[in-house]
Amino acid sequence: MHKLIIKNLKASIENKVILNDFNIEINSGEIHAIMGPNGTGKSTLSKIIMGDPNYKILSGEIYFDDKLINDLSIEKRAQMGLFLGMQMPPEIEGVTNADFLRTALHTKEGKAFKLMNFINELDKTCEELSINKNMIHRSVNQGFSGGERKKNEILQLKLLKPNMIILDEIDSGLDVDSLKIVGENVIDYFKNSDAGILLITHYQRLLDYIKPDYIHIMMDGKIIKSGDATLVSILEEKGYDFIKNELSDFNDMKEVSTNE
Amino acid sequence: MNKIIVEEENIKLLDSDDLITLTLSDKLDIFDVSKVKIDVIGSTSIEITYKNTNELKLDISCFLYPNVEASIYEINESNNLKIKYTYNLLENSKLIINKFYDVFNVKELDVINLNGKNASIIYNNKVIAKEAQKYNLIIYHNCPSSISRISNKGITILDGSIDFNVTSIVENNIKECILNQYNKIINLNNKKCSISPNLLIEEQDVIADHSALITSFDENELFYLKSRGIDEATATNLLIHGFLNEKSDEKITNIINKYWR
Ligand SMILES: Nc1ncnc2c1ncn2[C@@H]1O[C@H](COP(=O)(O)OP(=O)(O)OP(=O)(O)O)[C@@H](O)[C@H]1O
Ligand SMILES: [Mg+2]
Repeated sequence: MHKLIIKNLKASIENKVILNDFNIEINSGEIHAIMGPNGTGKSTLSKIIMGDPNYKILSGEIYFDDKLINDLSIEKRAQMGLFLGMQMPPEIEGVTNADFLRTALHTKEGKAFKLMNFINELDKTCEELSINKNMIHRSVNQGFSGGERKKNEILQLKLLKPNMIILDEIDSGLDVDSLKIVGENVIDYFKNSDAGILLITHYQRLLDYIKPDYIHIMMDGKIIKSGDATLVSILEEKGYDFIKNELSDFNDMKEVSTNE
Repeated sequence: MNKIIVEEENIKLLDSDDLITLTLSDKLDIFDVSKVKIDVIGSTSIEITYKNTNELKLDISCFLYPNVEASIYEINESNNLKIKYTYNLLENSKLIINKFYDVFNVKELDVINLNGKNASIIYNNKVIAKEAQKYNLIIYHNCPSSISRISNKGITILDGSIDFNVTSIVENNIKECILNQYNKIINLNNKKCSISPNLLIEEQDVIADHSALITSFDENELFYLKSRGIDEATATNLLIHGFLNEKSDEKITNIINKYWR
């Protein structure tokens, strides 16, 4: 059983507050989706959970498996089982994908690491994701297409076997076939593991494959509304402003009623 | 493969395939510089190894005959170096140079003369700087359709600093040349470094591009590696090997492992 809890998180970059009073709780076996307009702080949230030192936590707490991880290093978080599939994974010159993956797995498994097992699993996983084998011997993400980069993130996920998975716009850049492959691979991993998932996306189509239990609408650095999958169709039909206005109408009503 | 060994001021040619000739001038010039001339008459490869504890002063000139394709692989583990290279390439000749320096102090001048049509040079220089190092490269595109691809990569450690000064020249009427410069320094000790990429081009009909960058390690790259559970030291090690040794050359691996383990 794994659990990620974020309590009243307020965070900034370069003195600009991005997250404000952010709350969420994700357990093993749950899929949460966060949707929200551009620039609202979704990627920021994902990087803060992973421990990016560029962002500053001003107040609030992040707990993973009951451990306060606010000040834990990035690699320790990963070693505990957190995984972030990034919106824009960087290119790393000269470091081959194979070297990168081998090093990551070696660090994770320590003495139990067996090169042959690694090679076999890598082969198998590339096939499952329809990844061209020559991508393994190229520099990490260098010259990869948008879709290839996203598949490469899922390849890492499947090899590293995390138990709390954050996927930041893993669907962007994928063609319909690749979206299906990525969706099916993620859900397949999820079903055979004890993991929880936090999906960040702008579109319904990813959610057709990875069906969320909870949808959260994020605006201005916090979740303003949560609900089930029906929320997505309202959103796709009417847009974020509708939900925001609806909420402020509701709050106005509350104010009126309390004033009376 | 032809092996040239420069050890404590002795210069030897071993395993020669007779496609190169090595001429040493026995007289030092007034600055105590030894002169070496290498003629490459047929397509071949050359390995040059330097190991010198004293300051090494050398003037090396290398001539490629027409239609010759040659590669030079150099590992230099001398202490201090003052060196001048002249490369002269004739028609349709092609030279690939891969150099790796693990040296304290360097003053180097490289003059590349592309003296024949279609002459082309690929020049990859990689250095670990432990003291001040200055590199001056001048590439003369003296004939049409000549190609130069120049890459200089360096990392500074200890008291190291690096200056890469690279000048590519194409005069008017020398058409259809391709010039490319890539210069990058990873500055790990915050000493002053500089890169001056100069493209002196009078002719319109050329393809030219260059990039120059002095940075520390890229934070995004480090974040990415660490987010997969890789610790700081191992991540750094990966990035350095990636930067200086993308082909995983065993000799270079051993040198890098002296500093980053
Ligand atoms: N390094 C940074 N320096 C300055 N501002 C930043 C930095 N990183 C993020 N921001 C700002 O923080 C805000 C939130 O950005 P973030 O990338 O988290 O948005 P997002 O919700 O993921 O948007 P999108 O849907 O477009 O991916 C933006 O206004 C962005 O400009
Ligand atoms: Mg984003």
